[in-house]
Amino acid sequence: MNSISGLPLTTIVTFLPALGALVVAFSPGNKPDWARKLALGFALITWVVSLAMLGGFVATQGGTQYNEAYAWVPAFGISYHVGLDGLSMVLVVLTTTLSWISILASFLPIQTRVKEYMISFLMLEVGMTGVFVAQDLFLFYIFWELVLVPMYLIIGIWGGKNRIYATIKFVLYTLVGSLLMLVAILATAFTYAQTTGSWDGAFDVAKLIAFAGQGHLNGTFGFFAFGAFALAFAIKVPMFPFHTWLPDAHVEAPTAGSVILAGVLLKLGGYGFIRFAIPLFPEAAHTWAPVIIVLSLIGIIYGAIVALVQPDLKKLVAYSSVSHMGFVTLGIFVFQEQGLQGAILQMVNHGLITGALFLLVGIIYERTHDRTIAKMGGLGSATPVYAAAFGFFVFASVGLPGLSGFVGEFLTLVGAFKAVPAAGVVATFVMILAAGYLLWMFQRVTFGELSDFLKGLGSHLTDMKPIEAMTLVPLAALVVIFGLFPGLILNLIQGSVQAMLSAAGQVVPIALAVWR
Amino acid sequence: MYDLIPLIPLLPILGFAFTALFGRRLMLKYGRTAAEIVPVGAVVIVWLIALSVIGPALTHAEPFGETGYNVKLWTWIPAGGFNVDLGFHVDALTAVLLLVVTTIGMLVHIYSIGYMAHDKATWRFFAYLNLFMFSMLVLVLADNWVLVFGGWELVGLSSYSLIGFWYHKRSAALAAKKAFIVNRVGDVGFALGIMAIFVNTGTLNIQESLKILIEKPSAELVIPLGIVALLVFCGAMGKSAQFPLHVWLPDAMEGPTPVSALIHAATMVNAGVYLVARANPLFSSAPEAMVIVAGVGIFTAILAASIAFTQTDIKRVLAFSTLSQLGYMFAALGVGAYGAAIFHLMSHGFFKGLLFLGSGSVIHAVDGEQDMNRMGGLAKKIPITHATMLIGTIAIAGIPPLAGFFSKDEILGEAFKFGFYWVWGIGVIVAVMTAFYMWRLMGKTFYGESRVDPSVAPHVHESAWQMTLPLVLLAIPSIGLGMAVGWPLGSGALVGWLKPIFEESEIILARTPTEELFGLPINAVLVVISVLAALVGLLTAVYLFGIGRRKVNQPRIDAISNANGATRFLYRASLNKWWFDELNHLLFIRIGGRVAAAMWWFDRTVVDGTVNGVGSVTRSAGGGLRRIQTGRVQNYALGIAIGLIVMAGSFLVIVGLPR
Repeated sequence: MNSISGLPLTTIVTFLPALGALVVAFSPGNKPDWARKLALGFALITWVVSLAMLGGFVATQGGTQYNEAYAWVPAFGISYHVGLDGLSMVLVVLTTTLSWISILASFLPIQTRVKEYMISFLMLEVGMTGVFVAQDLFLFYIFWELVLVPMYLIIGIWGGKNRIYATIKFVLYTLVGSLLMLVAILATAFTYAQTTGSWDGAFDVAKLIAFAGQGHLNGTFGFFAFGAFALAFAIKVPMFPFHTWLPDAHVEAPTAGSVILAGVLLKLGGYGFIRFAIPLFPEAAHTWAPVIIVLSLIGIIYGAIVALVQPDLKKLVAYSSVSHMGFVTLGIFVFQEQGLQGAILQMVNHGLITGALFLLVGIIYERTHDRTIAKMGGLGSATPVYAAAFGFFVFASVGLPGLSGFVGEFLTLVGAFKAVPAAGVVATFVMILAAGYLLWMFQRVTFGELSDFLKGLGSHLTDMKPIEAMTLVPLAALVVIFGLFPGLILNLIQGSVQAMLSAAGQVVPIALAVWR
Repeated sequence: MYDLIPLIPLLPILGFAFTALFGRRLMLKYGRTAAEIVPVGAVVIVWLIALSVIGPALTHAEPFGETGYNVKLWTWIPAGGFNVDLGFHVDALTAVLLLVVTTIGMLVHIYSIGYMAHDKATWRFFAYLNLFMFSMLVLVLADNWVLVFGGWELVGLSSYSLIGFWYHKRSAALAAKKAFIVNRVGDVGFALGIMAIFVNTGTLNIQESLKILIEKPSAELVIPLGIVALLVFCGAMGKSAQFPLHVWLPDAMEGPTPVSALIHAATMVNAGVYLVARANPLFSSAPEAMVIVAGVGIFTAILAASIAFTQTDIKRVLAFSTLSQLGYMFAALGVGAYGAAIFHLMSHGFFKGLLFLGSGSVIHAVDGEQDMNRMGGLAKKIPITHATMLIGTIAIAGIPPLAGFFSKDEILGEAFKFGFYWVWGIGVIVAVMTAFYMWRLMGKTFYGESRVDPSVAPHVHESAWQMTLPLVLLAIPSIGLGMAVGWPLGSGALVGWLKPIFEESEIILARTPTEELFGLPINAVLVVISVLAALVGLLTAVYLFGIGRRKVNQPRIDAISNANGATRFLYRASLNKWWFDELNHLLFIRIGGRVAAAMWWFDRTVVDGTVNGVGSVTRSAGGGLRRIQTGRVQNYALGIAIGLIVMAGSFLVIVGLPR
């Protein structure tokens, strides 16, 4: 069942975009449409492969599936080991979905160096998928760093005015975290080799987790190693106070870059916490949990408050990401079933909804070359279809029940409330703030009379084009489907949730029973 | 047969989807009627289905019985121990709400055909109305807290869309946003309440969780019942616009008038009352929370009534009147008179729906004018509207034998009998005030000489049948509902229907009402006092604001509004709605805005400043790193190399650490 006709599906889904990049590279340089369509084609095939894998995935079975393992550097126990558990599966499909949507969304805005752009995008997809399927820490690290390069280029070449500053900041910031993580990875492997007397399996995730389960990675070592992992992941998520690269990167990145950045790249952090940091260093995770919970709460509230006063549409959505992603880390670090389920749902939903919001901002930017909220107004009458789509995703982001955002947020809150009531209470207040900044933005952009600035655009101010609608319709459909049937995801991730919780040991981190 | 219950919410959402997708095209191609047929038809069918359910559910016939009937569709959220069904529960309480919501909903749909006949986007209006019906029906039918919350939020969304229906009007857009956000403040409480219930009981099903909550020894509860009850009450305060979350409702009158009738008088604002009534065993087990409910309710009642005295916008008077009447309902809930609260919910739904639709008909007649200072003398020109509004006014004033008398009297009576004399005392004062401001509205609108704009006056006309028919139909329950279900006092049909719902509370509260006062039957004494109160209010208003051709007594009124001292203060306080909007503006826009701006400054200068500071220090320290700014890939490799050196160093340090 799991290896349909014996094909190495995991490798295929990971490296098919790389093949695509190669093909695009050899396409004629004077025909940008070829590059566009080839890239889209490969992204779509990859998407179909990932869907086929999803279809063959056995949700009830624990552990990883579609495993492939080959020795790579046997001397140090490094292997090419890929495979997927439920969480990986969900995130891989999210990646392949957002990838083709992003490529399609780049058809109109990207008019220079199209070929190079498409190659970067396909390579980005390789890196992202790789991170989610790698079952070997060394391999994981390689994919982790591979993601940086194309993103660096995408922001640095096709970005806005201040792109160089933003992209350098993005790369350096991430690099600081990931290098520390590399140190921790190597130190962990070394500890493993020293304790067991063999390098065999020193980088293998499953073996290391079993090793950690025997308490070998506790104490001071675990404390610092977890700190190093956590820093890398916290920067990616991004957690307060490591978030300031995000607004800059978003504002400067081209639309599709923002979509992937918000939709997938931020999820790498959450995934890292769940799959690596916590199972490898459960004791340290509990020690650090109070700090992370408090930082998450600050991020949730602070991100929302700062979003309230943003004059720029993209910055507003970027700060809302800080707030929304705070739910992910909060849900993870209360070590509680609903919290973790909520965190994972929130990762997926944030990818879909915020991705769509960036697409929508991009669509209006295409027409106005401006994102200043104060200059907008009255789009409801000028571009009704656009306004309706905008409204849909705004309310999805507000967390309206029936749409997907609600379930993840609510489950996270329930989990937090159960484990640390005070944290649940604080986080719930973001419901008001989120409604505040999102509706204020929506009102200023779509309601009222058409602003003079928009009037000045004349016939340039067109409603959504079919190609733009095509990027949003699948996202809207998924938002509705997951809103009504969150079980589709919850069933898939059940194994991963149980695995992390049992690795972490279900201990309530901070007992703050305020009401007793 | 009863498995058709899911159709009740399903048809309106299908109507919404259909109209949202095709309404515009249908309207452009085939005209208004084509776009209206589906949404209106859906609601009419829903009304018919609901009627077939309401009868047996009220009389506890099989399969409903005393405990109600459940239909489950699928498990919405299967999250470990946190299981949320998409399921419906129908018992007598649900049936009462269904009756109010579907009946008034249907009439408002029909009325809107006439009222919105000149709007460019009628299709959108009907789409939103259908969405509202769906949300409200989910809210009352839901069998678990999370689904109630779902309907609750969707009601908020539909109300947002409908208040802001004329979105090009700035005031409408602002009012819509205000309504949603203020509601969300309450929703935070409600959401926390749901979590508290889940943590306490491990289930989200309403019936099961309530059972566990009251049966579990209080020492085993993680969160005390009083807190849980107050959290749930927070949600109720938002939707039902109780002080201090009342500020959104008057502004919500920016929406088209049918919306004011449907959402902001007859249905949505009842959601809070329904919620507390639904959770009545929880509240009854938390007497300290009950007192707060009663206090907030009766305070809102008198506060809003005092504001209604001086408002000149006809819809705003009705809006404050709604607040005041909702306050009555919460006072009733707070004293444990749950049945009376639901009774008043029902009768108020009908007569206030009537009054709002009537005011819409008036506004329609005078070409969109809402200021009562530019009305007057309209009684003869729009006779049906006048007659039906007169019925509504007498009903709300509490004159027997109209509906309002029975339900209001039951609230006041029970408050007195259960020993809440302060609630009763304030309640009687509010009754005087209600009768007064309602007649003020009638006098200024319909009687005396005409102050209508001369350019409009010749065109004043009675509205189309689609608008007058609902008025007439609503007048029927406004007259007869009390006699039908509320007679004899205290033991009418409604009491029997709702008995199983509130049985548990009766046992918990275990109170014996006072039966006699001054040696007379208490009911008789209290009824006389209530009726006298209403008459005092009415007659004073008749004296000041006229009746028939009798003119407004302007010199008297001027004398009052120009008085000095306490009267002047009260007058200005009423006119300015006790300055709550100004207070909120100061707190949340001026001060809150500063805080947010300060935080952003902090983010740019301190948080990001540190990052950039570290960056520039590193840059000047390591000369080689500076080239990374050129943006070349080679430099990236250099970064890795430097990182590896750092890594090697740290590696040695960490390995050297004692484990």
